[in-house]
Amino acid sequence: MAADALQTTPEVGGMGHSVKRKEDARFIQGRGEYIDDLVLPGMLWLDIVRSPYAHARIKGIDATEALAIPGVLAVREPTAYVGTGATTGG
Amino acid sequence: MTTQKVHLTVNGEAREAEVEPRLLLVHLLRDVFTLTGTHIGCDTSNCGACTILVDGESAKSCTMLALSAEGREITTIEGLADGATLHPLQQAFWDQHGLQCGFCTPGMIIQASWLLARNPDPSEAEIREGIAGNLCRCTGYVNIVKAIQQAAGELSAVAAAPVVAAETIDPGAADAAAAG
Repeated sequence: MAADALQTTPEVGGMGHSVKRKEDARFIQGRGEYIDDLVLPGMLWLDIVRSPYAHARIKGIDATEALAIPGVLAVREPTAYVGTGATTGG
Repeated sequence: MTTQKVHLTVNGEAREAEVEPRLLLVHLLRDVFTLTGTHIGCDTSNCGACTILVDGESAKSCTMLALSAEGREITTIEGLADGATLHPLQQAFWDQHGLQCGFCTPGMIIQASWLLARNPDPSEAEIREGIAGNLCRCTGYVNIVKAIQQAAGELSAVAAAPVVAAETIDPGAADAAAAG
């Protein structure tokens, strides 16, 4: 049997032919819809504020100015998670 | 908060928006114009996921202010296809398996379009240097280079004969094009 008889034709595909991915059409056109692309009704945005100091003790947090910014709904401080099992990293 | 009006052309369409001076161009495109094909990977202009064209020059939109785009022409991945016909680079990335998760792909394709506009027949080394500012963490660069080579061949063939290349949907034909 001739070797080429063991391979399907390009029209049929299968063995010996690469498979074209179905999901690529949206990715190559910028329609991937990653988590960061989603906007849901009532969605809120979260920002984690970290200490600008590598080695320091947090004595207190004054969120007054942050809460005064229009659109800011809440500031959650580490103390809110004490006893919840969440790790605050001290 | 003080806002300022910015006027620009995005993918051929005149747009304007009232923005804070601190707003980054990538956030104007993604959050205000909902063109989410331009991605934010690192926010430090290392990864190239946010690459767009500004007046034909490639730029990392995470490191450019929206107000800096006043009066400029912006091209994003959404503006690359000609209607239902994919740009040869989009087609080539599909044909050559130049993506897996697809996160770097829009920036990679835009950067490649900038490269081919300047150098229509780049060597492999020139392609690799041309996309040095765009990181892919899953496919690797071999198939991306192959895709850019395929598109370079097709674009120069189109330039030689003014016939619009039809979209290739037959994988066999794509293989033949890659081999040729």
